[in-house]
Amino acid sequence: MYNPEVINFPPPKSLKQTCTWKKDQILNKVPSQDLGNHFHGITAVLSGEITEIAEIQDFFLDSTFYRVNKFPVHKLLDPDFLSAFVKKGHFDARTLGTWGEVDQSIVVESGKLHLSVCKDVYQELGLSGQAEVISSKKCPAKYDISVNLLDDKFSPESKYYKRVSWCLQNQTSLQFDWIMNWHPHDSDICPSSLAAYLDLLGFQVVQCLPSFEERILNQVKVPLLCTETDISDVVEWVGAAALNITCPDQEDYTSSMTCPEPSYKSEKVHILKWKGFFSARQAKELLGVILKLRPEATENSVSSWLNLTLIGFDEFQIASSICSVFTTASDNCQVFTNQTSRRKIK
Amino acid sequence: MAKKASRKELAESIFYEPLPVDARITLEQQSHILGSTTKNLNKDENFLIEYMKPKTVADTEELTAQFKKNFPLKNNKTLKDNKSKRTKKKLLTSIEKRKLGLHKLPKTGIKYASLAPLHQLWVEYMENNLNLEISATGANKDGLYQKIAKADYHGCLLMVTRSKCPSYIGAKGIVVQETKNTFQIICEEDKLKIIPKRDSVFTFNISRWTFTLFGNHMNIRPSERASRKFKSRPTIDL
Repeated sequence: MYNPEVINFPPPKSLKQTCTWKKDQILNKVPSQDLGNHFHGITAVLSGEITEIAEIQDFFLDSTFYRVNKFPVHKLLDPDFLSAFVKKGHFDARTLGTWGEVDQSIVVESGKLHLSVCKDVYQELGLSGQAEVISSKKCPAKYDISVNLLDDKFSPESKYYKRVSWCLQNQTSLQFDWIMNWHPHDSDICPSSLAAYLDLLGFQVVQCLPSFEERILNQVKVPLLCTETDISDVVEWVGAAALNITCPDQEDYTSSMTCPEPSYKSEKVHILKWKGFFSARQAKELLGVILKLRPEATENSVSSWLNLTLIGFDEFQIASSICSVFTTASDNCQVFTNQTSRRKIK
Repeated sequence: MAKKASRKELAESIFYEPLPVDARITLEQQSHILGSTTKNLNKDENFLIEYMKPKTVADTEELTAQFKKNFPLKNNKTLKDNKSKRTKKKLLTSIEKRKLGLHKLPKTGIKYASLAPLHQLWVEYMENNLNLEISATGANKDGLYQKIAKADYHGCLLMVTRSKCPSYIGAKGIVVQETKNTFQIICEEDKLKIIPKRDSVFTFNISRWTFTLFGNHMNIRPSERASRKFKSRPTIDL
């Protein structure tokens, strides 16, 4: 008998897109299908002398998020929880340590509960959803269910609420480790009340802080964003810089990676990296700050840029996994998105 | 001629006495008014034929034949004849019954509470039929499974626990009718729900045991199911 093939898989499909958006429009598009809703990593590559750097460095200083262990989904639908947290702030949550393409996962974002469940659970759950298109196979293995928690019809007295609550309570397999983040509309309320509430219910809650890392590169060649440059080369350079890979001036034996031309010599490049759990709202605020900055003036001032890259969660992908925004001195932003998935990409 | 006439008169005078004059006058007057019957008939017929002729294409013979037809006002058939031809009672055909919805149960109107005795009866029947205290502890449960597959489910409190269609999941009620493809149950809200057996999994409880029925295996009419030999099927995926 032959051994089953375990290494030679085809690479996942990827969809690379570049587009140009106006600066004042881009902020409206942040929590969207194109740019994603939750991010686990944010990287900013800022060349030149930036006066507001201290503000950016401290940006996520107090954005704590919580890890809740063994938390069943139906607790999210408790009338108390809905009225106190989901309806009175931005509540973002997602399951941890599950792979969207093989496991079941749940995401709460912008007031919507998305469940991605396997076939057997779907047939026992009792909530209608849509089959995920993974391949051309007729029998789908995964189903997506979406529930709008902020809907007026979704009140604890309504029939629909009772049905959803009953269905999720009966399903014991929908219990996961979660990461949660809550930002109240009312600034007088402390975001940590979420943790206090969950702790009171008897769940194990761990407070987490995003990790921050900063590096400054001196005297490096930085590519320019001209019409003739390929944006994916610049994205590659940004990625290399963020990972502390130095690009030699000329192709040499160890690395064929060089700085894309045309380029200029920059005195100082700030590389800021955050890792943690960021909602679209937080990413939007940071993007707003970055958009206001002026890129470093060069001889060819139009083509210099500042970059912010948002890295989405791989599991339960409904949006792009990487989104990189380049702001230039002009009104336009160059946006590069890459969507990687084993599923069929729409 | 004169002789003959005189003889006739003579003969008549022998048998008949002449009528008194006033009586003869009245008779003559009356006969004049009524006219002779045979003569009258012919006269009417002729008149009608004359009248109809220019209006139809039919010829005289045909018309006379038509006028000679008899239309009796009274049916002359005797009672005996009537009895010999027995009229069959008219029954509805199956198609007509189906069209009228005679096989269907009303959507509302059957009370869940009124079915409680039926359920009680069914539980008793099932307990006696399966004899669980003995059969459940035995090593070989094939006989038990056969009995479950062949049992009658009218009155059973069924619940859908798994289905390809999510809206059927959680439906719970007492079975009032079983057809080849469906279970028809009355829910606690006194509503009739028709649940297809295909692609659904049902459960029911008897005392401390819970049983699972795979609807896909039971796609048979209940009457036929009782006498059917079931094959064991290994896959239970919907």
